[in-house]
Parts: sequence; structure tokens; C-alpha cells
Amino acid sequence: MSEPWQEPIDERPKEQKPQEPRQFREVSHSIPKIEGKGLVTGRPAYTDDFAPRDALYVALVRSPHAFARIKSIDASKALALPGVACVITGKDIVRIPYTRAGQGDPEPSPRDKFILDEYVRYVGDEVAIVAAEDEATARKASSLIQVSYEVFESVLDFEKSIDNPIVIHPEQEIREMFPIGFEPRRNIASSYEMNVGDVGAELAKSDVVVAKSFLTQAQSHVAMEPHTAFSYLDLHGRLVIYTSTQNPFHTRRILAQALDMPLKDIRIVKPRIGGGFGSKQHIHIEPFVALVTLRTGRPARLALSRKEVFESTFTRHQMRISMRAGANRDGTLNVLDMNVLSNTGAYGEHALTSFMVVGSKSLPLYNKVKAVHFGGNVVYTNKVSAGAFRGYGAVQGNFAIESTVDELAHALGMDPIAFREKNMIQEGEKSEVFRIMGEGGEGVDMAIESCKLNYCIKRGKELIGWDPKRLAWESAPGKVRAKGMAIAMQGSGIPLVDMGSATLTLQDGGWFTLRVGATDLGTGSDTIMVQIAAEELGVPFSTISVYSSDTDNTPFDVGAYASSTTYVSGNAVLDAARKMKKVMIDAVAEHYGCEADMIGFDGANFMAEDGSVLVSLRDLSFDTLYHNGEHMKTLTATGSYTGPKSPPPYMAGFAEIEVDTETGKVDLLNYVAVVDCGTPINPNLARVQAEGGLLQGIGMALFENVQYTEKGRLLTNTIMSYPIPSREDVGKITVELAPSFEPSGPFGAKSIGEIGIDTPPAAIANAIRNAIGVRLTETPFTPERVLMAIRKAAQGQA
Amino acid sequence: MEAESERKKTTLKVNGKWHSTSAPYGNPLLDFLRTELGLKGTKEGCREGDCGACAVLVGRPIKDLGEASGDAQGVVRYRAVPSCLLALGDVDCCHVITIEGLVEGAPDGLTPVMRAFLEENASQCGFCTPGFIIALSSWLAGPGKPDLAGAMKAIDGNLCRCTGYGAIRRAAERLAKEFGGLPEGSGERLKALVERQVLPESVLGFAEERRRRCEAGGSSDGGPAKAYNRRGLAIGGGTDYYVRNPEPEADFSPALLSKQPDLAGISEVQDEGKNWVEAGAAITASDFFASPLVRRAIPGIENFETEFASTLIRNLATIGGNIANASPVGDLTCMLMGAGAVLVLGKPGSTSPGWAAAANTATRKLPIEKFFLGYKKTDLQDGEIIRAIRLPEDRPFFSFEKIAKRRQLDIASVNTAISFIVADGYFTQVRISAGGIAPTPVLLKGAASAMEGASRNRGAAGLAVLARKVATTAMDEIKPISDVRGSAEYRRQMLGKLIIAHFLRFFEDEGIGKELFP
Ligand SMILES: Cc1cc2nc3c(=O)[nH]c(=O)nc-3n(C[C@H](O)[C@H](O)[C@H](O)COP(=O)(O)OP(=O)(O)OC[C@H]3O[C@@H](n4cnc5c(N)ncnc54)[C@H](O)[C@@H]3O)c2cc1C
Ligand code: FES
Ligand code: FES
Repeated sequence: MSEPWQEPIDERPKEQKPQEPRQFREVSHSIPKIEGKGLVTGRPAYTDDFAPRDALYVALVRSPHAFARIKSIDASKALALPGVACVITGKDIVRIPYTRAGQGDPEPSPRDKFILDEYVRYVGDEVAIVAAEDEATARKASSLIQVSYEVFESVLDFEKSIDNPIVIHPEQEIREMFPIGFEPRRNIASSYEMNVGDVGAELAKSDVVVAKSFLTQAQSHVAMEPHTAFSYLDLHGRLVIYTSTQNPFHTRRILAQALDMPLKDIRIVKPRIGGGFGSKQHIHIEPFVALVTLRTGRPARLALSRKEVFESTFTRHQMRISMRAGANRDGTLNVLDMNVLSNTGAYGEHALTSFMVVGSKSLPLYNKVKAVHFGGNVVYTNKVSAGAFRGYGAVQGNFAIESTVDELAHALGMDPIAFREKNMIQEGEKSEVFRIMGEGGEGVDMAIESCKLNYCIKRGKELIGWDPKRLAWESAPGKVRAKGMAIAMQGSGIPLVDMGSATLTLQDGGWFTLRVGATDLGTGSDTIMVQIAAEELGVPFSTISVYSSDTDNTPFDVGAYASSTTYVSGNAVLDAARKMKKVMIDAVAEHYGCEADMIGFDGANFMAEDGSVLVSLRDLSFDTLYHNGEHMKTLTATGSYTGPKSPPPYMAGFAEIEVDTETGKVDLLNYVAVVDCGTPINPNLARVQAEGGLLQGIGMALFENVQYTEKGRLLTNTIMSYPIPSREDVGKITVELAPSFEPSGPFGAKSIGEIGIDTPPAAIANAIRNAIGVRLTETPFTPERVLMAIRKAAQGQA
Repeated sequence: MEAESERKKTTLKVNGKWHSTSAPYGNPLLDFLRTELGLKGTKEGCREGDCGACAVLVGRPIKDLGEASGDAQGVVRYRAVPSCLLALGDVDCCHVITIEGLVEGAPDGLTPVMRAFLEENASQCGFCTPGFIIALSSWLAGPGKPDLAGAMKAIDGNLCRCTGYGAIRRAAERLAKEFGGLPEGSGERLKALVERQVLPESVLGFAEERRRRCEAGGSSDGGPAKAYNRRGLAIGGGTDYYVRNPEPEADFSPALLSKQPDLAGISEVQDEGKNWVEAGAAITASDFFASPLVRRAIPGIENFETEFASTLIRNLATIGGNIANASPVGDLTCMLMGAGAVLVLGKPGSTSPGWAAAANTATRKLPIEKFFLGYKKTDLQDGEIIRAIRLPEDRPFFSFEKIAKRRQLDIASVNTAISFIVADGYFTQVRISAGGIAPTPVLLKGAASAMEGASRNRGAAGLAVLARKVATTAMDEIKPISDVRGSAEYRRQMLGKLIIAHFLRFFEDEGIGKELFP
């Protein structure tokens, strides 16, 4: 039986066969998620489901001003309210700059935030912490706290931020941990430049040059579970925090630094998360519950309201991207030039890293150019901070490059696909950009060992019915249908930065515990980690029990971000499983006094060279734990992995749209995506990852848009005012996985977590271009914008 | 009197067990379930009715719902509603089923809906899953034959940010196949659903248990509301009220209009020599659109049901609430204004012995367009409520159009409705309403008179000319504003387009399309 993901792929070109013909037993099967039954029956799973009943409720007083200094705080009325346990203000805590970005050490983000500061820098910034016996009292108390502010003028337009007389971060203590181009006096959080070849000369030599400026909006994550945490002191007096985080270990380290506590005194546990997409790759709530517990000695709980999630967590970085690109008549792309301005909001979380990805995850798509330049600044404004969001930087960069490339094809009169095929990266090739640009520093010089873009495009063309001569047609009076496409790449973890570990232990009865630091944020990574371990050990899936994301009880892992889990953590599990096999065989060899390399293991029994059974796995487990006298020991192995490279997954995305030329409304009728993610460890889960990513990209392309008042107050602070796609918003989504095998990945796997989001903005913009003859350069493509573009084009013709 | 002002107890069955609680009846059911009962399967994703993570099934006896139909006596109807916007008092004497309750008694601990979700991997993070499962269980509970379109409609108020809905759709397809043959009658349907473990056994005994606990001198005659209304605040479904006040004070005690049987009927009345359909103000949007009488009075109105909110919200929101809320873009209000509705205003009824006495209180009638005085200001006098909405029965042509950012489940930026009569070959009694272009919903008098008296039989070209004339008149007579949902100029343009769209809907078959878009 073929897997469902393979079914639609009927004619597989010969050269595209996976290099590894191997049949997998566990991997590459669509096993339902381990926790699936628990989830569909509504068992307690998420942080708030476990909050202790006697926990204090924490509420936060937030700034109503975009930029102000706190003159005084009068908490007497709040404290007088029965049931209020404590009020904590900036005066009560040590002032330590830190960053809320959940990143490795040293953080590539500036330490420019204080848990509570004298200054507030956006509407929603934290002013004071209140804790009370119940939720209503905590809320009431927070409304009774009187704060007097000295209100400053603010910087809201990010294109006017650099060298603005209003300096958002004048404070002395803030700093960068290594050079990231941090110039707070100029409102610059970070800056970066790179250059290969002579961009000016190549542009001058090119037959056709396209220069366009693109603007992408801030986008909200809207994970369904709001950020939630609770804390308590354990029997040893250590601080335990259960929290919806994507990176427990970074949270522990950063919290210890920000609270000036020993790392040893903190334990972070991540129960199930109700969606992350990057929003929980940050320290948003943990310091507040921690401070209340440390102050009162009591458990404390904080669940942000939906409004707070919008107003005080992060968004995607808004960006202005100016592109120049030149090509020859014969369709050779010569040069790409990308100048970027990114808006990091009030604080600089992920400022540099998300910025660099704009180039590093888009420019290598066209690796044969003779010159390439990338550079610009990340600036502060008095808005909600920007942070990590699925496909950060990459989706913005993809929109700019894939729109520009499309426009070049138009200028050359070429089929946009033919133009791409001529210039795009191929298996076995390299890109200078890989070597120069990493995430926050230098990159790695890697060759692409798996790249099935040719297949993705070919298959996508079939599925969408691509005919270069018929990319737009009138479907009804006042309605035009059109097709457009884009290609994309991502990464699989950050090479030589991300590290994951896993520990396997044989338990009495012949089953295993698998402890991983990796963080399942709903993706199903717990399941695929077991699949990988089971495949390598040769044991059934059902004999491995997985436990993840607890800083006391699981080995280190950087966490779930940068599309790292399958590749980095998965390789760590593979390493652990290989070692575990050896540990077991060594134990058998020792016991039976034979050579380890003579012993075989079939998943149930250990065998001598002649095939006779020496001992069963079950008996071995009892022997080593109960029977072997002085040789008794726990059989366990820990594996770790850090990637010397970050093999990109690839995708071709195709959109078919219908534009209502009367209202400007764009309906997405059909979206086809063919993805090369290497071996899908669990095809069904991989497919759902891609489908979910696509819909977020579609939301970004069509209507999601964070908006503010002139005073910097967030307007889009409910799901009603910030609609996310409902199941009605797309006609049809077809996802297929290309047959592919990445030699460096666990059983050939790469990543799939982020790439899905990358193509929709560009593919839909390209379809709109085909429909109405106008290039939209600003996301989202709202009916109003599309209609104005149609009008302008009509006026231009008249 | 003293005893009545004491906090009322709410008696309800949650899953397999009855509870009697003195928890504040004006607080959302969601908090009672999660905090008081520790049922953590019901999730809080937004507390504003948008996400559906908090959905629960609520069973009410059909006879309490006003539209007494012969076979329905004693039958309980189960519908999914968002528990974050539902007052605890509203489910007094009702049966609440949460995700935990669905599996009570299921042999392998899974219902067929859950199994379909599991097998299709339709939960990613899983946070939205309980809400989807409740909504799909509600879909199987009816009304109508379960088919895929129905399933998709049933989950239009459930958001999932992880999956992209593909896997959820595949799960629904499975269920539509499996359950296509369910019996239609409400009684048999319920039995079949219990047999096939879609609903738990606890639904079977409910009607009888309720009779014992609630009707024999229990709290239910007229609902617990008899002691309510101390503050003068009345709420219908609460879908506007709780969105604006997500965390009401502990002693919040509104009048719960949905508990008032005399506000929940739909019937025909004669007045001023005309036939009207009168719908109680506390009728839910779902029941309103489903009513044969309403469908007769406003032909084709059911086609516009899904333009209004989502299934979950429609199962809770009342028509009176939509009007009283006085939003400039209220969709039901716009439809009703276009259709020529008249409001019946009056006191909610005195206090004891119950709401039925209210029918005797004085009422006044007001055409709906006269009800709105300014932004969110209405003609309601102190202590007055909307008791009923009357629809004229003589208007055969009706259409509604709306523009929003998202395809569905979104507040309109502009909406409009139109109705008219064709007499002796001429358009007459034309009414055109519009929302989103002024501080209140308005009637477009100029546009209507541009059409009034024009001949109907003028051919496609003539109709196209008329459509353009009506649209331009409408665009000229309004003064829209700019906000997040669109700029003033865009709204003006859109109103024009929507009016053209009305004409397209009516006269498409006559070839008006080719004339309008040559
Ligand atoms: C997710 C979501 C989507 C929505 N989508 C739409 C949409 O597409 N279109 C749309 O128009 N609306 C929409 N709404 C708004 C809302 O659902 C409707 O306005 C609904 O009809 C309100 O009815 P209700 O009974 O729930 O009102 P309630 O919240 O009960 O009441 C609203 C106000 O009216 C008063 N009131 C209620 N009934 C009466 C009465 N009989 N007499 C006097 N005063 C009364 C109350 O005191 C309150 O102030 C949506 C709401 C949500 C949460
Ligand atoms: S919590 Fe989102 S609809 Fe109730
Ligand atoms: S599975 Fe995460 S929101 Fe639906």
C-alpha cells in the first residue's frame, strides 16, 4: 500500500527517485499522533488545565501611552482591596536589562528590555504586577492603581525612525552581546551589509532592470491558546514554572539572568502548547508569575486575555524592501540588490536574525547571479515589538524577490516559470550567500545535497493546469481569473548554533523511555521522535514512551524554532538510538562473554552469529536491573546533534484566484503546493504542517493587518477586528510532497515547519498581476487596494 | 419580595450530573465549567465569540423554544453555543454537554466524531479540537440531513490556526458519509445518535429528570428570570453584551430575555388590515431563519443566513439584540429594515408571578427606521424593551448584500437590503436599507424613490440603466466615514456595487449582467 501522500504522484520521473531505496518500518508512515486520543477527548493538556486551585491570579497594569516616563505609582487603593496579595512595581525589583527573545547564548538580540522599567515604550508595556486571590479582584486591583505619566511624543512611522530627535532607548545600561550594529541613539537596533561582485556594473550591463519597493505588514500570530504560565516553589524551595513556551531551556537561562537567580534554582516545564508559530519563542509571562511566587511564596497564575495577546506579545516584523534586479534578453538573471528596513517596534527581539533571513533564505534561490547585495537597518518604533513568527524574514524576502523575478519575466516576455527554471538553484550546487550569511553571524559553506525544485514545479504545473498563454481570462462579467506562482526555500535549524539532545533508557519489561528537550508545539514532534527512535532501534513504535520539554528531566535542546526539530532534534534521537543499540549489545556481550560485533538484534531478541537467541529484550531489561548482581546497571544512552549545515526544504506554490474588478475582492479558488521536505517522517503530519502554514501565508496575503490609531494604540486587538482565515477563506488547498532524500537528515528528512507560509504573498501577487496588469507591492491585498490599483491602471491608460 | 432578591440558584445538568449552584447567574457558563466544575476540556481562546474553542452543547426542551410543533412535545433539542458568551442563568434547567460528557459511556472512550478527527490527524495543537467536535456533534443532532455542506456550515464559527482546515474537512467528509442516513424526526434522531454513540446516554433521561426537578414547583416556570431584572438591564443572547463586558462583576444580574416564553414565539397577526408575521425578540437567529413563517414573509431570506455571524453565534444571538445593539452595520437590522419591519416595544413584563403577565402590559409600535436616533442611540424608553418584530407579508422581492474583509464571519464594512412589490408592471413600495455608511443603519429614501414607479418590463438594457441610476442616487445621498474596515470613499463605491448586485440577483436571467459589464 502506498501512503496517501504518494497517491497523487502517479508518474515519477526516473531521476527523481529517492537515492535511498530503503523501505522504512516506522518512519514515513502516517501514524496518528500519540496524544491524539487525549486531545480529541479534551483531556487536561495545556498549562492552564493544570494550574493549582490555590494559585494567586496575576494581572498586569499596562501603559496607555506609546511613550512615557512613569512619574509615580500609587497602589494604596489596590492594596486596600480585600484579597489582594501584592503589588510589584519597578521600584521593587533589580533593574537588569535582558532580551525576551528565546535565543541561544550569547543572544543575538540586544538586551534592551527591563521586566519593569521607569519608561514605557508602547501602548501595552508593563507598568506593575498585581496578584490577588481571584481573577476579578486582581483585575479590579489593577484598575485601582494610579499611575502618573510624563507623556512624550512617539515615533510610530518606522520609515522616519532613524536619527529622529525622539530617541526611544536613551538608557545607559542596554547593550548588544556581540556586534550586531546596535546604535540606540539613532533608533537602530541592528544593521547589516553584505556584498558579492559589482552590483552597479551588473545592473548597468543588464538588458532589463526592474526596481521596485515592497512593503509588508505586521502580522499577529493568533495561536489559539493565549500565553499562560503558573509557578510555585517546590519542596526544595526551587522555582517551578509551567508555561506555554517553545524553548524551555532558553527561558530558564534568560529568566535566571533577568531575575539574577542561579540557573539551578529554576525548573521550566512545558505541557502541551495550543499553537506557537513563534509567538511562544519569547519570555512574555514567566517573569511576572515568578516575581509573585518569589515575593509571596505562593503559586501564581497568569493567562493573558486575547486582547493582551494582541497588544503585548509580538508581531511579524513590518518591512520595507527595495529591490533591484537585472537580466539579459536570453533570460539570464545577472544581479540582485536588496535594501531592507525592518520595524522591530519598542524592543529589539530577533532584530538582526529575522533581518538576515530576509536575504539568506531568499537570495540563494537564484545562486547563479554575478553580483548580489543585501543590507539595511532594523529600527525601533513605539509600537508592539516584533519577534519570531513562522518564516520570519523569509516570507518578506520571498514576497520581494519572487515578485521582482516575476516582473522581470514579464519585462522579458518570458514564461515566469521558464525564467525561474533557467536561474534557480539545483541539486549539488552552492551559493555564496550560504557561506556569508548565517542567522546573526557568518554562515556555513554548504552544498545542496537534495533539491527537488524541478520536480515541485513540474508537478505543481500539472496540478494547477499551468498554461503560460492562458494565465488570465474573464470568467464572468466583472470577474477575472488568473494564476500565479512562486518558489521558496527555508532552512532546517541554524547550523552550528542549534543543538538538540535525547536520552533513551531501557525499562524493566523491555520498553524504552525517550526523553527529549525538543518542544512539541502541536506539530506532532513527540510522535515523530518516537518514529525515528523505533526505526533505528528496530522496535515497535508502541514500545517507546516519550517525555519532552522539562528542564530538570529532559536533556538540553534549544527548542522549537527555525524549522529545527525534525532535523536537529531528530538527528539527536537517531544518535541516541544508535548509541542505545550499542549499549544494549555491549551489555549482552559482557554477560555472555562474546564479541559485540557478533551479536544481532531484531527488535525483540539478541542473537548470536548463528541466529540462536541469546536473550530477549525483555529478559535483558530484567537481568540488567534485577538479576545481574554486581553487573546490574541502567542501560541508557544520550545523543546530541548540531548541524554542520542547514539543508533547505523547497516548495513551489501556485495560486488560482478570481478578482472582482468591481469591488477589488480577490477570492483564492485553488492553491497548489508541492514541497520537498526530504523524507516525510510522518506524511500526514507533514502535510498538515504545510496546509496550516499555507493558510497563514494566505491570511497575510489577503487581509491580516495589524493597525494602530494615530496615538499608537492598537486597533486590531480582537479576532473580530483582526480576522484570521476561517475555513471559508480558501477554495481548495492541495499539498503534495516531492519524493526526496536528504543524506544528512534523519532517514533523509529535512524540515517542513515554516516553508508553507513563504509562497502565498508572492504567488497571489503574481496572479493578481496577471489578472489586472498591475503589480501590488504592499501586503495585504485588500479589496480596497486592489480596486485602487485597477482604477489607477485605468486612469493611466486613459 | 425579600426572598426574591436573594441570589437565585441555577439548576442544571452538566454531562451526567445535576448541579444546583448559587454561582452568579450573570457570569459566563465557561467560567462555571472550568473553575467551579474543573471541566478543563472546554477551552478559552478569545472570550469574544470568535474562536469556538469554548463551544458546548446545550439541550433545551423544544416546547420552551416557543415554536410548539406537534411531534416535538417532550423532545429536547441540542445545539452548540459558545459558553464564553452565555450567561449561566440562561442554561437553568437545561442540559449542558461538554467534551468530557460526550464520551461518558462510549466503550472505547471515543465518539464517531472524535474517531474521525483522530484518524484524519485533524488536531494539530488540539486547542481548537473540543470546540470542533462539539460543533460537529451539534450538526449531526440536526436539523436536516447530515451532508458535507451542512458540516462546513456547522463549523463556520470555529477557528483553527494550525491545520489550514484540510484535515478537519477530511474528517467531516468521513462523517457525512457515515451518517448520511440518520432519521429526520427530532425524537428518532436523538435516539439514533445515542445508539451510535454520537451523544451520550445522559441525554435520554434528561427530559424526565427535568420535569421532576424544574417543573414541579422548581425554578423554571418563566425561568429564573422572574427574580432578575433588578438593574434594568436586559440581555438576549449576550453575544454583544459579553463581548463588550467579558468579565462582568460578580453580582451582575441582568434580565434574561431568552428565558421568557412570551418573547420566543413566531406567529401570524392581523393589524391595520394587513397580515404580519410576528417574531418574538428573543428568537435566536437560527430559529428565525429556519422559521417557515419568516421564510414566507421574506422570500429567500434563508439564503442570507450565513452572511450573519456563525452557526455558534446564530444559535445564541437574538434578533431583538441585533436591533437594540444599534450597530451601524448590524446585518439582521439591515435585512429587517429593508424588509419593512415594525417593532413592538413595551415593558419586559412586571416582576412576579412571571413573564406571561407581560403580554398585558402596554406596547407601542414603531417602524424600525424610526428606532435609531444616533450612533448607538435608540428610541427605547427607560425600562422598555423590544418585545417583537413584525414583518409585512406582502413583499415578494428581497435581497441582501454585504462586504467584509473575510469571506464569512466578519463584521460588514457596508451592507444593504432591498425589497419591493411589482404591481401592474411597475416597481412600487421600494425600500432600500444600508449600513456602514452613517452612524445608524438607514433607509435610502432617494435611491428608493429613483426606483419607485419605474416600469418593470423594460428589458435588460433598461434594467441596467435603472440599476445604475439607483446606485448613483444612493452614492450621492450618503456621507460615510473612514475606519479600520474601509475608507469613506471605498464605502461609497461599495454601496454602489452592492446595489448593482441586488439588480444582478433579481434580473440575472434576463441578461442584465451583459448590459452592466459590457
Ligand atoms: C463572533 C461574532 C460574530 C458576529 N457577527 C455578526 C454579524 O455578522 N453581523 C451582525 O450584525 N452582528 C454580528 N455579531 C453581533 C451580535 O451577534 C448580534 O448583534 C446579535 O444579534 C446580538 O444579539 P444578542 O441577543 O446576543 O444581544 P445581547 O448581547 O443579548 O444584547 C445586545 C444589547 O441589546 C440589548 N438587548 C438585547 N435584547 C433586547 C431587547 N429585546 N430589547 C431591548 N434591548 C435588548 C442588551 O441590553 C444589550 O445592550 C457577531 C457577534 C459575534 C460575537
Ligand atoms: S472563547 Fe472563543 S468563542 Fe468563546
Ligand atoms: S489544531 Fe491548533 S488551533 Fe486547531
